[in-house]
Amino acid sequence: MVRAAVEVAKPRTAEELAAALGEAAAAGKAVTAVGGGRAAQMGGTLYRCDLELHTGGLDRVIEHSPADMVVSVEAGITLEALQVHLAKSRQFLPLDPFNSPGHTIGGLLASGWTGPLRMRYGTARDFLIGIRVALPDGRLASAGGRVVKNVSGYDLMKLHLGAMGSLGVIVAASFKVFPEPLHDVTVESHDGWPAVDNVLAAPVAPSAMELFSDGRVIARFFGSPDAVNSTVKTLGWTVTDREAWTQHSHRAADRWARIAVPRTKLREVLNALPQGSRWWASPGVGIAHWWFDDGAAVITARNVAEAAGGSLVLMAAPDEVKEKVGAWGSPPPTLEVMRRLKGAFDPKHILNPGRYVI
Amino acid sequence: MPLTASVIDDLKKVAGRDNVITAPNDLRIFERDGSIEGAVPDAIALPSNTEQVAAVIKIAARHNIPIVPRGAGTGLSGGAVTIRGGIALQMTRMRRILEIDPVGQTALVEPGVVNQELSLAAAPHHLFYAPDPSSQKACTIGGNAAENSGGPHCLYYGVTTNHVLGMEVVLADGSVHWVSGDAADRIGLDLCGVLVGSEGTLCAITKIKVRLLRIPPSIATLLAAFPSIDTASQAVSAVIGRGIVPAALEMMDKVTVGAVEAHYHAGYPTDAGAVLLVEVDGVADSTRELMAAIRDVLSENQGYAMREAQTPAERDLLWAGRKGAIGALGRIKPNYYLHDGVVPRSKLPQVLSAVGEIGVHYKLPVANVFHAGDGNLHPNILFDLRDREVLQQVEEAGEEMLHAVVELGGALSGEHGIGLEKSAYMPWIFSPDDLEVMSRVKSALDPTGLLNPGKIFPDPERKKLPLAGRTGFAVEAKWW
Amino acid sequence: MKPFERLSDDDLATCVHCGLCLDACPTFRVTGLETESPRGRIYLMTQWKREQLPFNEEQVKHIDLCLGCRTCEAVCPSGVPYGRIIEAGRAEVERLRRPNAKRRIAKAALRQLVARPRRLRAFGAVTRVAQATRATSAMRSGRQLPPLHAPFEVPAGRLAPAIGPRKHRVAFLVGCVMPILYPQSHYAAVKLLQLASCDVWFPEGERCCGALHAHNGDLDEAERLRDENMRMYASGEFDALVVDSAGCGSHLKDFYPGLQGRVKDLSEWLAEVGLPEPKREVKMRVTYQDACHLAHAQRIKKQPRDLIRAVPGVELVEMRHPDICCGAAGLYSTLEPQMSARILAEKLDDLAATRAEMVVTANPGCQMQLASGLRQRGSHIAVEHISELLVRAFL
Repeated sequence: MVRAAVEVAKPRTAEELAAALGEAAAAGKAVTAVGGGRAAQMGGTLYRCDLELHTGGLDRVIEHSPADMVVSVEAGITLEALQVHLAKSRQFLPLDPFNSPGHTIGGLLASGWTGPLRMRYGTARDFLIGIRVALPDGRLASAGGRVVKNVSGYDLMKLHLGAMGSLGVIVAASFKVFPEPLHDVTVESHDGWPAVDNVLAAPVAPSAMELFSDGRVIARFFGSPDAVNSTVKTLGWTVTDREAWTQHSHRAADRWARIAVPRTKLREVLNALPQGSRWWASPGVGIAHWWFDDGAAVITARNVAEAAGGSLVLMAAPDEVKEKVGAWGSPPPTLEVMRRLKGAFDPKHILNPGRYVI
Repeated sequence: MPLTASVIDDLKKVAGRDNVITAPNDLRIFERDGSIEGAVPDAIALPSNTEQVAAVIKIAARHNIPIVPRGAGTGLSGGAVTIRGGIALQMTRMRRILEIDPVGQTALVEPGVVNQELSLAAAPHHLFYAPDPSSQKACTIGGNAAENSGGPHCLYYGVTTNHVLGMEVVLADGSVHWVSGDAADRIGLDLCGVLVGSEGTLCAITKIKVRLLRIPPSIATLLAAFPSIDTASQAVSAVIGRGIVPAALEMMDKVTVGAVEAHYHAGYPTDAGAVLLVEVDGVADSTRELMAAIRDVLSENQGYAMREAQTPAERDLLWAGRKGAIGALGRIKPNYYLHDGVVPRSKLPQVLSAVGEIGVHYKLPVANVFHAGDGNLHPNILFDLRDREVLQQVEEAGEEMLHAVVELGGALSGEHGIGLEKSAYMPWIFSPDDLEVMSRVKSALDPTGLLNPGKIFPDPERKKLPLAGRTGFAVEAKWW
Repeated sequence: MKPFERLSDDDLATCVHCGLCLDACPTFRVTGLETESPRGRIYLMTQWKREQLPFNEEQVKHIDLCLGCRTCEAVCPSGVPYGRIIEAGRAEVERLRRPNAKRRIAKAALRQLVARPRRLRAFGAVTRVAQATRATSAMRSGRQLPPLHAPFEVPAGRLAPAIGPRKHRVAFLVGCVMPILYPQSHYAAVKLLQLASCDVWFPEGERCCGALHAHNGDLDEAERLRDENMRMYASGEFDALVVDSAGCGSHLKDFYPGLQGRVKDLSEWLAEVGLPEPKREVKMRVTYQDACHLAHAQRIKKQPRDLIRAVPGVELVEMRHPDICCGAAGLYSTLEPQMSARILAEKLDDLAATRAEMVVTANPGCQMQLASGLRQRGSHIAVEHISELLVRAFL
């Protein structure tokens, strides 16, 4: 990354942010939006950055209607602050990304990071219901709305989600939120894959299940008390503290990668990693995170993941490794179509140049 | 504009002589979908594979002829209506289920596969396809994906976009692409996400990979009566507020219940101001416990005459009343017109009373039957089309109802799509900047505006769109 | 008479164009075309009626291609009376269209042969000889026929007495083609009725009920036959007129208001009055094909299944689409052989997937169509009328 002195702007409102972005773009400056910085290492090395737009000043809950189970927030609010707010109404947003705490909502949407609860709730893709984005021409544009079901107009939420800020700077978002589970039990096993297979075949699926390279498995069951208790009893694992999930969410490393493959292929892809590799996985989803050692191993592992129809993405790595192996891997076959969209949003390529695949 | 003989020849070379229809009298039969307005296409092409779809689109692109993909034509927003003429790309011949993967719990289907057929085919593997529009016996998965369709059980399971893993699509230049797939977190922009629900304006869909879910081992279905729509609405909020998201939570008002009961004899309480149909599924322990909790909440909110289905047949009967409700309204008047605006759930009592007042003002009977859990309204304005005077009134009443939805922070459509019918109202909820940005997506993928022109975006050629006096043949002919 | 005078505008106006009927329509399922769907046909007839489209020969084929199976009617949420619409529409089409040799021969055959029991029996006898000499296999329609045996004989005194206590007196419709094509189905049906404590009366001078005529647009002849039959039915007392052919049953229910309430399909009646305890097990994997005129026109789907399940040893396995037409549809398989064959092919695939040993149905047309299709595929799946399967438990 170019670490030479860059301008920093800390707008207090979406309008200020849009204006700053518009001016910078008009002047041909390259702009990077900065949230909590938790995913700052993800993606390719920036070619250029003239202005950092910090979203920390946009940290309000715009509206939370507990009865509607809908919340609208500014992009700079941290996930933890939002959860504290929602918890007052016994609600929550089912996002539990790694390398926590400190993710901002805008950063999470732009990076597309998820965590173990994805098994039950899906990703932000499934509960992001509205978005507001600042564009390089200084406009603020919204899509979606504040209702839980909506087919009015194009679903632009999907385009910005996980796009690493390459189409615009997310300034606000609306979510469908969820009631806190009636009952929440965490259990643990050390039986590795057989334990995982056992759970996946059972009639009640857990809300989250994580497998570690040492064979440890933790699973979390949400639901009505009788159903959860009887499921857990049948399973026969050790009941453990749910604090395990908080600790788990802090996990990250200097060099780590995300492997995402079709669910049924995950095991064989992980088996192909170098002997003694350390990783953790969501076997119910088909995702694993891997602490890798060197670039050569990444290339081998990526070939295996891509051959299985998936991907291997660097979550953090030294610049020289990124340059050697590439942050994203093989470009998608629809790259040309994606570039057309990029051109429609950011024709001068001033947003995060070099960081994303397009 | 009629197509030239050489274009027709080209189409026939691609799709086969019998698979291109150009006889004007026959084309007339294709002028409408499930909505009000009609317009006659210049040709119908029935491709049987992706290559033919791409080739037809290339021919159309060469001659700048509009292309409108069409499934079963059950849509309720005019999405499949060829309002600018052109070629209707009829996808109903592509109706093969190409693969069901019971381990990965996915299916790969052609766009003409009927929604319910997929669940029937998946049933032997104890799997089902979750989105269940009320038209699921006839509507196609391709149409569902294009419109991002919903259904009663989408409250818990999510709408079509939550179940489409990937698609093969043909863009306006005739190029064929696979977007997304069955691995999580794919690299690059989520094209699939933006193409689902794009109403045929960005691509033609030629294959769809969907997620299948395990059939829940236990299902509990409850019918409860309420003294009024208000109390029923409060009960809806209270259930959800208690931390319970049922699989389905549907409301019917007094008018609807009367019509349904006369037709189905499902045991709906006809003295009630409103009834709720609530369903939970899962393992038996869970459904029993949740249903007990739901009963408590409903009682606290003046629910009475609660009846839980004891057998699958009884459950089917309760649902038959709901799914056939709109048809049963034919007992009151032969025709209905409805929007499907969505409001925040807590605004249900307000919006329903506004809807009622609008009906009274226009002297039109209104029957409400809708997805209460989502706040997704379906106010059916009942009328007889042969009474020509009434059309203007119906249109205006519908528009006012939709306006009330928007005033309360709602959206124009929850599942039917914007299409032709609501495009003029888009500026009610989106700023010019919002719409400008959406139109950039359109221009990026379909620069010449070949695909389904005249939809979603406000159409300068159609400033006001009263039902009577619209451009379509059907209205001129006093038929609709 | 104005064009389409017989077609009721009120009936047509009940269609709200929702399209829920489309995939229930066998011809839409194989063509994917709106013009070959119930909604499209109603739209077309409406435009003809309202003179918004000129009546024209090119579009008559869309009406001809309708099987009249009325599956659409059963799934229609708005209660569109499709059967009534298509019957009236067909009558008008026959009046307005250019003379058509094939249809004229069909009409003449229906009037001169089917409506006249003696001639039909003679034809049956000739056919038996032709089958013995294999002359029939030269003709397509000949190949469809089942091997013929001696026709059904009415018992002496025109009465088959109840076995055990007599609780009911029923009239039995012998009909036109059933006694010649499937006498064994009739014998089984009568036996079942006797077992169910019914005296079975065979009215003298009964004519064809007129169903085939009505379905093929010859309403005049259908009305003539009805009037004659009604005079004959008025001559005796009976609790029910039991019919073991779904097409006739549905026609009698719709077209004979004078009999209202008393016409009963065999399975409907047996379910109502009850059969005695079965005597023996029938070890067999069976699937049931809904006859369109039973399932859709008469809405009888549950009773035959309950009766089949009550036979000890029988395993009833359902097809994915047991209630979609097999393509027989009266004269349809002869008049529209190509479409009929396409629809039959889908049906046979569905049938094969059940791995059943026998397919049971309740209408002679379906029996003939399924059997001929299965024969052509070299399949060993047997075809029986429901009466034949049920009676096995009592032999």
